[in-house]
Amino acid sequence: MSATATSALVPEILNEYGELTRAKLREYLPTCEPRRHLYDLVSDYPLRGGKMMRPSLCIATARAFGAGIDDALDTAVAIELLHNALLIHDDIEDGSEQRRGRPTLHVEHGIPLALNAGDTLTLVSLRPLIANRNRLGGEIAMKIMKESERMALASAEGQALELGWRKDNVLDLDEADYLRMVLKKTCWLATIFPVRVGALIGSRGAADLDSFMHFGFFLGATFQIQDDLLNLVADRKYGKERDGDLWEGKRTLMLIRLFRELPPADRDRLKTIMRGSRTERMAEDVAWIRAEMDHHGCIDYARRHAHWLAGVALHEYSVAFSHLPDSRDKRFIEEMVTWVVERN
Amino acid sequence: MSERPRIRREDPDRAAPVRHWGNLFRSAASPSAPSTNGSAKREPTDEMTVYDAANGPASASNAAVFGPISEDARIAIENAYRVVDEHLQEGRRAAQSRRDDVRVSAPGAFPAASIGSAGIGLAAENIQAMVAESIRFYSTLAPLWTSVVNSIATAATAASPPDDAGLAAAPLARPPMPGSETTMVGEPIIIELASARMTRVTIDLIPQANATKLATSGLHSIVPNCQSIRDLTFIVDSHSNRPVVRIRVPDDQPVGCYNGVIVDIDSGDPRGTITLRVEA
Amino acid sequence: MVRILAHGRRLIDIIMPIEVAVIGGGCAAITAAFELTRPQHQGKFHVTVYQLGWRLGGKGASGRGPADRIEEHGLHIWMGFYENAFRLLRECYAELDRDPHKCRMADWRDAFTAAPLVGVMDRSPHGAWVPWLALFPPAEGLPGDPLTNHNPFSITAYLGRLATMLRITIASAQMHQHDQVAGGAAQTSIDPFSSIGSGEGPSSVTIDEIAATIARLLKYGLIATVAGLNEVVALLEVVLRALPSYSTDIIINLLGTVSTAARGQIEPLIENDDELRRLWEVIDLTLAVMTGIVRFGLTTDPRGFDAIDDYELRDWLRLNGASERSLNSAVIRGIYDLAFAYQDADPQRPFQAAGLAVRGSLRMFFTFRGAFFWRMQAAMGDVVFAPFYEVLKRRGVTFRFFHRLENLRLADPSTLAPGERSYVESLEFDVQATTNHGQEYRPLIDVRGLPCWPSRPDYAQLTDGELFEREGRDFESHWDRHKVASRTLRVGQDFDFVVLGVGLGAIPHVARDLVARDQRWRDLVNHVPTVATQAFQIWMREDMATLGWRHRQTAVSAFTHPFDTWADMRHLIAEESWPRAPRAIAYFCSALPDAKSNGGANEQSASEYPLTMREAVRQSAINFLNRDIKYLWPAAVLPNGGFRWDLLVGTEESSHPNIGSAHDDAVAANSSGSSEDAGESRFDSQFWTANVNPSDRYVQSPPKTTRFRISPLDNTYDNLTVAGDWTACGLNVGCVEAAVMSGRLAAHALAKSPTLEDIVGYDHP
Repeated sequence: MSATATSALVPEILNEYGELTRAKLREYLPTCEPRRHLYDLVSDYPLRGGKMMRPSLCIATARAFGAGIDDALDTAVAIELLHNALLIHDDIEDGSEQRRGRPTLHVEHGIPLALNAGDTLTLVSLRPLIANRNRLGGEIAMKIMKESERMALASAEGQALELGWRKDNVLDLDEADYLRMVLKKTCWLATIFPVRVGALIGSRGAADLDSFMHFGFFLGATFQIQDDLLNLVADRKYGKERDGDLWEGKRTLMLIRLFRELPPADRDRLKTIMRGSRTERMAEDVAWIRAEMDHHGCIDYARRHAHWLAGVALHEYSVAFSHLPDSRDKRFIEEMVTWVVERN
Repeated sequence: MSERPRIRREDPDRAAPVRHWGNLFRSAASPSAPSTNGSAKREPTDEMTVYDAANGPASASNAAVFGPISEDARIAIENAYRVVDEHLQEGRRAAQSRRDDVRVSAPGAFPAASIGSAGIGLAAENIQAMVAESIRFYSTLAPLWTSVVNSIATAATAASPPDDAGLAAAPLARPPMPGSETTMVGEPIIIELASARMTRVTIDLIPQANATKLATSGLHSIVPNCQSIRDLTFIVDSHSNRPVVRIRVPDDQPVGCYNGVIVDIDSGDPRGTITLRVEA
Repeated sequence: MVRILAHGRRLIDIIMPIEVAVIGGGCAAITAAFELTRPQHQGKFHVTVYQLGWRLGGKGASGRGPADRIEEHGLHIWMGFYENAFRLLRECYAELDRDPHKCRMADWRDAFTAAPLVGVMDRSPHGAWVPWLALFPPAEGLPGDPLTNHNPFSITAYLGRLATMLRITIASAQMHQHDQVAGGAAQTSIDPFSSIGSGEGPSSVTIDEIAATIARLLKYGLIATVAGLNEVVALLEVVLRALPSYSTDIIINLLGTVSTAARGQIEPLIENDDELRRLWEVIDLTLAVMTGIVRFGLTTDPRGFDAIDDYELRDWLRLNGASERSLNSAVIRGIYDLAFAYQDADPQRPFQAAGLAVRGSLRMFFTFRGAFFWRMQAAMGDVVFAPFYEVLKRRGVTFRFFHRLENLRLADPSTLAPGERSYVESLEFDVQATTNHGQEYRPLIDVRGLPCWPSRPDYAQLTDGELFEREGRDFESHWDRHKVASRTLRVGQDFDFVVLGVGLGAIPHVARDLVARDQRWRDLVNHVPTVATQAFQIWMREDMATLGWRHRQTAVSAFTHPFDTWADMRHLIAEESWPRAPRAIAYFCSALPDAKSNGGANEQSASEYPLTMREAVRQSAINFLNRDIKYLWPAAVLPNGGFRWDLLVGTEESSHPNIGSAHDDAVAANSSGSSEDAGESRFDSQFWTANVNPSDRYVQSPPKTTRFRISPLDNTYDNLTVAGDWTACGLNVGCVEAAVMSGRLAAHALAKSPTLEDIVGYDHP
C-alpha cells in the first residue's frame, strides 16, 4: 500500500491516446519541399514525443461524455500542434537550450529559421480544426474555433505578462498575480482548452463550460507549479537543464515567495541578479538563489500550494464530471490530478 | 388600508443551499458577490452594513473553532478562486459587449473584434468566413507575440479591464437631486389643480415610469387624524394625448404637507411620489 | 425618483408599508416577524401576527399554572450550535434592555445557563440500566457570537475532528485497560515515528514517509501493539487533515487497519467491562462515520451530506462497518430519541435519514460554542416568546390572538393574466373570541417581576369570558371548533404578503386549497411524517440525591420506553411560587403513538380524541413511575416495588396553603378528595400532556423525504412564503434552530434580507 504507486491508468491512457494522436498528427505534417529549412523543422518538435497530456485530456473528456475517439482526434491533433508551435516561440523567448533531451530548435538552426517554423506550425495546427466541420458539423466546429481563438489570445497575453515582468525586472508580485499569469499562459492551452472542447464535442455543445474552466484551471495551475518544482530538483532525465528556470529568470511561485521572504538587503541582491540577461548571470548567483529558496522554505511552500490546488481540482472534478456515468476515461481524468502532482 | 394592486415577491437569486465544499473558499472573494456593486452599498436599507455595525468587529479567533484548514491554504485557495472567477467574469463581459455592440470590444480581455466575429448566431454558412479570419489571425499571432510583449510589458498590470465596466447604477439608489422641484422625464404631466387655497404640487417620477399608466391612493398627512386628499386622478387628455393629473383640494383642507405614492396600474410597483403643500 | 427624506427613510415606506400577514406564533413565525421589522427596514413592512388561542410559542409555548408552576409542551433544551437562534435571542434581549434591578432576566445570560453534562442510559449485557454521563468542556466563544467565515463548515474539517476524537477515545480505552490489568505490559519504547502527528500539517510529512511508516508497522506486526495502534491513529489524523492530497484508497486502508487493530485489542475484553465496552462502541461508530465519509466521497460531493439522505442512519453505519452492538448502543439510541425518530412512535421502528442525522450530530458534537447544551432558567415561553412579544410590540407589530386560520384561498386560476403566477387571494379565519370593547388582548401576566404566559387565557378580557370558562373551551384544541365570528382578509386590502408559519401537521387543515391543487404540497403532507409527543412533569418533596440519583444536574436520553428522555429540572424550583417549595422537579418526554381511531368519520368520537389520549398518557406515566423509575431513582420506590406517590407535591397545597404542612402528608392527601386511593391518584395533581393537535406534532426526517420539503425561498405563489422546521431550511431536522433558520429564509424571500450567507449553516455541506 504505497502512496507513490499511483494508478497505472494514467500512463496507460497517455500512451494509448498519445499514439493515436501522433499517428493522426503525421497526416497533417507537410512532407513536401523545402524540407531542410522549413518542413523538417516544423516536424521536429512534434516528433520528439512528449507526455501527450493535452490531447489525451481532450479525447478522454469527449469520451467520458460518450463521444467516439474519432470525434475528438482532429481537435486533439490541433492542440498538440499548437502546443509545439508555442514551444518553439517559448524556447526562443526564454533563451532555453534544451527541449525533450535535445538542443532547442533555435540552438540547432538559428532564431530566424526556428521562428519561421513556429509560425508555420501554428498555421498547420488550424487544418485539423477546419476538418472538424465535416465530422462534427458547422456549429460545433465553429464553437471549437471560437474557443481556440480565445485560448490563443489568452496564451499570448500570459506569455506577454511573464516576459514583461522579466523585461522590467518586476519581482514584487503575489500569488494572485502568479496565478493570473499561469491561468493564461499555461492553463488555457494545457488543460482548460482540452477539457472545454472535449466537453463541447462530447455533449454536442450542451455542456456548461464554466465548470470546466474551474477544473481546467486548478488542474493546470497544479501542473505548472509542479513543473517549476521539477525544474529545480530534476536531473537530466526530465529533459531540461537543471535550474534552467533560475538561469532564465522565470517568475515561478518559488521566486515570488523568495522575494517576499528575503530581508531588504537580500531583496536588492536578488533584484540585481535578475536584472541581467541569462548570459550575465553567474553560477554562484544561481546557487545562492537556490540555497536561499531552501533556507526560506520556498520549495516546500510551493509543494504545499500544489497539493492544495490539487485538492480543489479534485473537488471541481466532482462538480464538472459527477453527473457522467463511471468510465475508464472519467477515472483517467480524476487520476490525472494525482498524477500531475506526484509525477517526477 | 385601501385597496391597491398586489405586490409580488421578487424571484430569489437561488432557492437551495450551496453545499459545495469549494463554497468554503468563495465567500467574499468572489467578484460576483453583489456587494461589489458600489451603488448598492449606498442603498439606505442595506441590511449588511447596519447588521455588522450592530455586532461590532468579529472576533478573530472564531475561525479556529472550526476547521483545521490552515490560514495559508485558505488564502491560497481563495486567491485561486478569485483569479479564475475574475477571468470568467471578463469572458462573460466580453461576450456581453459583443452581443450588445459588434464593434465595441472589452478592453484587454479577448479583443475579438479584430476577427470580426459578429454575434453569437453562428450560422454554419459563416464558417468559411470564420476560417479565413482565423487563418489571418493565427498567421499574425506569432509575430504579434513579440510585439505584444514590448507593448504590454510596460503596462503588465493594467491588462485587466476596469472593474465597473458594464455595471449600471441602480436608479432608485441615487441620492435626491437638490432643488429639482419637478422631475419631468419624457412627457411632462400636466397638473390641473382645483383649489381655493394657495397650493403647490410636486411630482417625482422615476425615469422608467409610463406616465399614462399611473395611479395613487390619495395624499396623506403625517398629522394624526388629518383628513387625506382623495380627489385626484391620473388620466390621458384625449385631445393632446398627454398625461394629466386632476386634483381637487377641499376648501376646508387644513394647512400642511400631503404626500402620496404613485404606482404603476399594472404592476403595482411604486413609480414616484406626489407632494402637495397647502399654504396658509 | 423616490424621495429620500433627510434621515434616509423613504417616503413610500411611511405611507404605504407592505402588509405582511404572519400565520402562527412559533419560533419560525416569530423569527420572520423579527427579521422583517428590523430597524434597518425603516418601516417598509408592517407585520400582523395571527395566533390561535391566547399565547405564542407553538410547540415551545408554555404556561404558568397553579403556584406559578411551569407547564411545558415537553422538555426543551437549546443546543450549543443553535447559532441563528441564539443570535436573534441575544439581539432581542439587547433591544429589550430590561433593568436588571427590576427583572431577574434582564440579560440573555440570566435566561440561559450552560449545561455541559449530558447523559444516556446505557443497558449493560446483564440487563441493568446505568447512566453514562459525559462532561463536555466549554468550547471557545458563545453561541450567536459573530463568525468571521461565511461558511465555516467543511466535511474535511469534521474528519480531522473525528480523527482527534478517535485518538483520544482509543487512548482512554487503553488507559482504562491498563488500570484494570494491574501492571499491564509497559509499552515498548519503539518510536520511529515521533515526528508524525506532532507536525503542523501535511508539509511535515510526505506521502512517501507515510507509506513507509505504514509498511514498517505492518511488516513488524507493530500495529497489533498498543503503541503501534497509537501511531497509526496519529498518522490517520495527519492524513485526514491533509485530505484531499491523499487518495481515498490509502485512507480507507488506514481506517480498516485501525479498525482491525483496535477491535483485536479491545473487543475481547469488553464482555465484563462496561466502561470499556462503551468506549469501544464510540470508537466503532467513529470509524464507521469516517469510513462512510471517505468511501461515499462526501468531502467533495456537491450535495454534501444530502448525498446519503436516502439511507437510514443505522443502515448506512452498518454498511460502513459498524457492529450490531454499536448500532444498539446508548449513544445511537439517544440520537434517535432526541429527534423522536420512530415510525408511528414505535420504538421497534426507528428511522432517520443518514445525511441529516450525521450532519446534525457532527454539528452538535463539534461546533457547539460555550456549552454543549443550554438550559432555560424559566419556561420557554417566558425566556423566549415573552421577550420577543414585547420587542415586536414596540416595533409596531400587531398581534391578533384567538384567530384560527380556516383556509388560505388561492386566486381563481381563470382570473390570472397570461404569465401571472398564482397567489394567495384571501385568508379565512375563525375568530375564537373577541375582547370586551374591542380592546387589544394583553396576553402576559406578571410573575414576581417577570412577564410570563398563563396556562389559561385571561377570560376576564374576553366577551362572554365567564361562559367560555364554564364551558371549558379549549382554544388550542383542533377538535374544539367554536367560533364567535368569521373574518376574511383580502390581498391588496388587508395584506400583501403571507408568511405561512404553522406546523406541518396543520397544513392539510389550514391550506386545503394548496394541498388540493398542487402536487408538491400533496407530496409534502403525504411523505414528510409527523408524530404526536407526550410529556409529564412531577414535583417532589425529596431532593434527587435522597431519591438515589447521585449525579450533577443533567438531561438523559436512551432510557426505556415509553419515556426515553428525562431531565433533572431542580433549577426551576426558585422560579415557581410554592408555599412549601418542592426539592426536586423532573420532566419526561417521548413520542406518542396515535390511537387506532384518530379522528375518524365519527364526529363524536373525534372530539373525544384528545381526552382519550390524555388519559393514555396519564396511565403510561403512572405505569412508568411504578415500573421503571427505580433504575433512575432507586430510593423513590417502595420496598415491595411501586412508586412512592407520597413524594409528589400537589397543587392543592397552593390553593389551600394553610392545609399542607411538613408533618401531615396524610392530611394533605385526604383533603384532595379522592380518599380511597391516596396512591396513584396523587399523580392527578401533577402536569402531563398529550400533544396530539396537528400543529403540535413533531416533524420527522426519515430517509428519502428531504426532497419533499418546500423551501421558504420557493416563489411558486408570488405573495406567499413558508416558515417552520418542516421546510427545506438547510438543517431539515425538527428543532428550534431549524425553525429559526426557516424564519430567516422566509424574511429573505420577502425582503432579500438577511442575506443567505448570513444564515449560519444554511450552506453547510
